[in-house]
Amino acid sequence: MSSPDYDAPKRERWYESKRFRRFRRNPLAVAGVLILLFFAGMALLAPALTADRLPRGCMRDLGLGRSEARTALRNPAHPAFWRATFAPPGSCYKIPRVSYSPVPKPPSKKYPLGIASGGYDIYYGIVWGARTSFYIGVLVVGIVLVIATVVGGLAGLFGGWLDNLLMRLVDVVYSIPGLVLAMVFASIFGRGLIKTMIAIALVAWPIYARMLRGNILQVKAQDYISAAHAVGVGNLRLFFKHILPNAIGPMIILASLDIGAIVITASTLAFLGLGADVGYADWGQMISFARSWISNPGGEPLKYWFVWFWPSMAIALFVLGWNLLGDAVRDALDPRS
Amino acid sequence: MKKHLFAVIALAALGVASAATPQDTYVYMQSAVFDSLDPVQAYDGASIGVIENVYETLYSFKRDVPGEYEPTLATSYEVKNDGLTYVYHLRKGVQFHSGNPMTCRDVEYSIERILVTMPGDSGAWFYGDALTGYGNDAMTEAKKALGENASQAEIDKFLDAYWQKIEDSVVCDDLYTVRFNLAGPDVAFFAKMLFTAAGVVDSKWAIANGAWSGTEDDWKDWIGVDLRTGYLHNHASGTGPYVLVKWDDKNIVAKAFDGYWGEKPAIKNVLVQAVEEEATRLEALRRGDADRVDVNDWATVNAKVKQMSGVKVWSDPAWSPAGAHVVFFNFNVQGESNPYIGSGKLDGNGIPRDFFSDINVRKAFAYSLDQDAIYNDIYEGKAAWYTMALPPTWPGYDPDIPIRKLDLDKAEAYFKKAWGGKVWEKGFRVTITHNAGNTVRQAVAEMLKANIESINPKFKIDVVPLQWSDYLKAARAKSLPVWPLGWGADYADPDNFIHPFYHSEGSLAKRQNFKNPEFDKLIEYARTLVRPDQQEERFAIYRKIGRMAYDVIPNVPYPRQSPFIITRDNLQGVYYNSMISGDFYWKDLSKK
Amino acid sequence: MFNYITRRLLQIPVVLFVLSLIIMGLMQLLSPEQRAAAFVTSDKQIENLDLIIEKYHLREGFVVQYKLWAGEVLRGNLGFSRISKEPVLTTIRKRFPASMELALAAFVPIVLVGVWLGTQAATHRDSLLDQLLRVVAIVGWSLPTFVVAIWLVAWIYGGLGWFGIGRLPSSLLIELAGGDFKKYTGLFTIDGLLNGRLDITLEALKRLVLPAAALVIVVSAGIMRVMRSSMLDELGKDYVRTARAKGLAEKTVVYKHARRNALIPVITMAGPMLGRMIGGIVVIELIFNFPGLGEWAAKAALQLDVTTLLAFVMLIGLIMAVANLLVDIAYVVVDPRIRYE
Repeated sequence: MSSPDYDAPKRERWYESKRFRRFRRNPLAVAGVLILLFFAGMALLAPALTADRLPRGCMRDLGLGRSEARTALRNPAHPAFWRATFAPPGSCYKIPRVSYSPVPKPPSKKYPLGIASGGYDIYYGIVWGARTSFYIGVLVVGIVLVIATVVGGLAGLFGGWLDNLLMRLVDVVYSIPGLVLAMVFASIFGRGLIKTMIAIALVAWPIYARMLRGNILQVKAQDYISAAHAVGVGNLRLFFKHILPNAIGPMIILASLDIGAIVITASTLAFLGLGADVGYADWGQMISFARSWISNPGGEPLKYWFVWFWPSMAIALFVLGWNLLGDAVRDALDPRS
Repeated sequence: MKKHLFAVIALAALGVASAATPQDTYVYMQSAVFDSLDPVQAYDGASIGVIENVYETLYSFKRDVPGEYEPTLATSYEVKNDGLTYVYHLRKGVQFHSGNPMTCRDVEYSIERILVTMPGDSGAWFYGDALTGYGNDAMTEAKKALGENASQAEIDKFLDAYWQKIEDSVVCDDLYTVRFNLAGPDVAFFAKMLFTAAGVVDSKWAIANGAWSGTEDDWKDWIGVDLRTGYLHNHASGTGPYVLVKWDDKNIVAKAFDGYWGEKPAIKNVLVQAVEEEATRLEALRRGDADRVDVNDWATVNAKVKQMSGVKVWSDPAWSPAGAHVVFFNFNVQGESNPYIGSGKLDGNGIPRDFFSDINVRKAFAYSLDQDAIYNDIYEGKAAWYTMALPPTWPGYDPDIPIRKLDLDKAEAYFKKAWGGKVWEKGFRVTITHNAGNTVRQAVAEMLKANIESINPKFKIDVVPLQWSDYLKAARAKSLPVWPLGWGADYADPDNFIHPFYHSEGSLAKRQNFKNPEFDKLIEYARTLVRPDQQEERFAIYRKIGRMAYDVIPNVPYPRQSPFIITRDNLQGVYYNSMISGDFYWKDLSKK
Repeated sequence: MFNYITRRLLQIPVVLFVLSLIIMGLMQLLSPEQRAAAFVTSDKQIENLDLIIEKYHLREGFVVQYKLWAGEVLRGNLGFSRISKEPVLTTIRKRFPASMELALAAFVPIVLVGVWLGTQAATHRDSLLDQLLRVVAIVGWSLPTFVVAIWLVAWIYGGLGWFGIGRLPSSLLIELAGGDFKKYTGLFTIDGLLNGRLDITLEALKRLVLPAAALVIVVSAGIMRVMRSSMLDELGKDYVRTARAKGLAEKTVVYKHARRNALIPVITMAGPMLGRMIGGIVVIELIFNFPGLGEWAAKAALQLDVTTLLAFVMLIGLIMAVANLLVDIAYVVVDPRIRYE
């Protein structure tokens, strides 16, 4: 180990590991990754993909004219390209309205996925909705990790009555189906994307808090920690130097694999009318305003298929991507298989 | 596996069967849910649409003739004492659903029950205004008059006086003559008595079932109560042609009343169902499970309903809804750290609180509203223009007042003039709010935004949908700068629009801090014109107010969808009366 | 065992108490006007906003409001629902059977489909069938309930015109309001049989097919996955090998021996599955116009009717707690090796 022996086995790279190879050979895992790459590409390139149809507010906030936007947002040399890609103003998430007519219009050359009731461009909504979905997933996971770290950390480090109290709180939140509780929280917080995300995070944290607490207890029991404790290393320092760095990795991985479930909850809330505002590029909400055009009694049954088909496919595929990936990762990490 | 397959096929075969409703049954699927069947409490179209067929008022609306009435539980009436006394002669031989005979005692009980309970979230206030002079329930008025720290003795004294007013306001001269003594002249008293809250309730039955006893003994227990918890909330005994059989959650079932004094209705059974999902209502209509359904807008009618066979769309250009939609401007925006006015200064990042007090700003906004797009895009050309905030078919409406249509050149000119040119130079940022879920108001707000922002890049408008709860908060704080709103009629008198919209004490004008002494003076004067021979003068004043409003622009009225009724084509006797909540009475229906 | 059950039962009120504290506590983030949202529903009523705020004590602080609420609850009054316009308990009594009927209609197929497919996948490990079923499971798991429900409404109901929406057709609703039909259980399928009205049972069944199918698609995938892996575990164990060595027929080994043991982990899944089902029912009732508790709660959430929401959460909390307790007990019954102290 210490000597740089020339015929010593090469240190194994992660991509050469057995686990990764197993992962790579799993066709479902590859499919999951491809789906997610597709959506990630769509999300990242959203401004370029929709440069010709940005809403006025978005162009105003980017300081671009209509014709200018068309070229600038597809030209990486232009500063607006980077701004729009990485920090687009909130107004860019508003789906532009082609008209105010309540009747949806089928796909056409200019509007390849059709126009939803109220004149909303479905293509725009799908493309920017991908961004919204990643945004929701990442942010909720972030909030969840913060709550879980605080609660799990406190419970694991201090133990005793505090541990007992916090773990009972975990039980309580856990005792109600997540969607139901999230619905109640979202109702109280009111409409808006951020508020919905907080509502979801508030019901999703317990499992991770419990996990972190378990990890801490495990680590605490190890010899070197007891030793450190004995030499007078403080609780907080211990936590940040030794415990958190070890425990946080798996927690982040597992939590991020939950993004699929989080997006399901978020889109369900949006569908119930507890999500983002009407007109925001959000798939769940797009289905919700497609509702009265789903069936077409008396006429050609699936005449308005495009209003619900695209957003529902987008959600289903997006979640599928995460679940395929998550499944494969869990399989790969599972020591039994 | 085969077994499963068989089950699936059997179930599928089951699924395709469809049924039309029976010949003597009327099924109506509406979009709204019912609030309360207590006539005093009900203040929403869905509930009133049922109540108006179960209870009757002294006079009622004449079928499809707007603005005309016919005697119902009364046979005639007289106005005496310069409009301060109304005497109604009651119809004899009328029976309640319970079998009790209807007399003056019941009328007295019913109207006094309004004055005693006065629920704050009901229409009771306009009866209080007319009869006792108090718009609130007795306890609230006592607190208002005496302050929070009044002694019990003082309060009791106040309440006794209040009760006396209730007692004196409705008097039975004999078993079939009822006299109303008004607290002051009221141009709309007769119209108010047409509203369902004045529906006559079976007093014996109500008292026997635990409602207010009709006496002073327990009246204090009923002050300001929520009548949704009472017996009359979901039980009924009126004199109307239909008997309430059952209210179960989203379904109300009624059957024809055998002892009805008038002509026996052809439809024997009625089911009114609240079905929120439009697609479900349409499917039921197509299959014949419903005889009438609510449809949101003309666009849906044109795109989906017209292609259905066996379905009839009733409409008439002469029909006009009993409501008005306008965009309000706040003349002096209130509220600490108000999020809707940006910086609160005319610096390009906000507006000063009195921004809209400059007529040029209001004119510029009015010229930026694309009324044609509302008329054509949203309503597909099936709408009514509004020149003022009053339904176009009502007396006092002036159709000759011009309407400001989209004209961005004029808008630009006025923006340049506004605030001595500072608006044009610095720009502004303001938030237009609309209540979340109302797509028409959202479209109006977004149109204003799109048009105004195109005039000058320094003009910035944000459109913010408000949840109902946030809207309540803002409305009370008077903190909204610009917002579209709709208003429906309570009672069939133009005063019900002119006062709230244009008087500084009006419930809507108050929220926009609009105060114009000239308007106030005219409206107050019009309220004194109670004699029948003065009505033309009163309506002329309303027309004048309409013309003044064109110049002053306290608000901008915009078009409203013209009414339509969707039924199966075998339903007959359908008509439209904007003052009837269900558009027509069930008793006039029949089937081919 | 008895002590364990008692302790668990005693925990239920505590959980409910904490839940109510959390929800009422969060309400304090709102202003009195915002809390009035469920009480004032039209523009006209804004005129008397102050009156209404006072009448329902919306201006009061947390302690006063909580005391008022809790006092009523302890007296058995869960309050008045602004959504259904009747006392909360009345609504629960009326609507619980509807949701129950839907849950029951979905429950049996969910378990059967999940267990059967899981067994198939495990016994055909790594075959094409297994791969296919894995994909099916993961797709089912990935579909949001409302998407499945909407697809079913659009294709099967809207497109093909099969089955129905709601609980019963309007003609029957009118008839039922007449009162000759006795509601023994509130489940129309069963009441129809008890009243000798086969047509009602059939109509009710017909309208249960699509919503139940949506639940089956969404929920059974989870059971199937657990069943597959636990079945694989069991099949690899010694006793199975012994049984095979004894010359027992493969069918007997799989279905009599292995599957029985493989079912135990599936039972532990019952709690989470029930949770998923309840979440699904909320959405499904809304889409299929099914007047159950879920639809009621979803409407309450939109209007911020806290009385209704609180009651709903309490009820779900109670159901989940009882269900989890039953699962624990069932666990002992199925697997005598397990003991609770």
